[in-house]
Amino acid sequence: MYARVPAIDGVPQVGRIRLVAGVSISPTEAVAIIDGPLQPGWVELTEEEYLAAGGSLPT
Amino acid sequence: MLSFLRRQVGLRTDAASSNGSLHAKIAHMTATLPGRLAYASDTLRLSADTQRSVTDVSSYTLVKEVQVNVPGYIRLSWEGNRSDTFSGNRFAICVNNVVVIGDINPGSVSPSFTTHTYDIPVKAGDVIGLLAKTDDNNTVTVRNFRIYYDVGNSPVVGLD
Repeated sequence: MYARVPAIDGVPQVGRIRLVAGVSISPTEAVAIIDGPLQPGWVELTEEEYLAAGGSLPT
Repeated sequence: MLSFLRRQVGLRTDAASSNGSLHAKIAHMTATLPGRLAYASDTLRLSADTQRSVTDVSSYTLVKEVQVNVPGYIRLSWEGNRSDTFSGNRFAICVNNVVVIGDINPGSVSPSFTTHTYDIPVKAGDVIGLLAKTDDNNTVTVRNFRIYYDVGNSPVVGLD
């Protein structure tokens, strides 16, 4: 799923949840594709919102 | 001489120990090594922060490289930018010289940077490389190439 998650220096802080791809949108936030449940404070995004925020799809 | 060898080799029934007889050491390795797996996490394990750039290189060129000596999953991140919005500016991740994730858009136009992060599976001894390419006198820049993982007895990934 696509999500906006907290970040440190742009690196998504998703712990042990599988991170398929992540791209920073600020030093403290990133958009990401994750394989796991949303955590409190994370915001689910649509694919369009993810791409519009600067996310890229792994190939 | 024979008693010295007996002490060094020990018995098959020796308890596992990292500093015991040869039999004990082998039992210790069997008990510990196979279960040690990396799982991607927020724990920083390695930083290669030096800034590197490639200019006017139309095929993927190695800019950062590390060797991982534990199997499992690692989290790989780096900051990158490009000198303009030319569509040929791209990053790729390779494992043992084989591209596993390609066509990554660098994002920011210089001087700001975008951070890219990916979890990738690895085997012990794998060499992980970050590649970049550009063209037409453009420049792609990389810095803060970092590896994050924890080590445990089993990999932990998403639950749904």
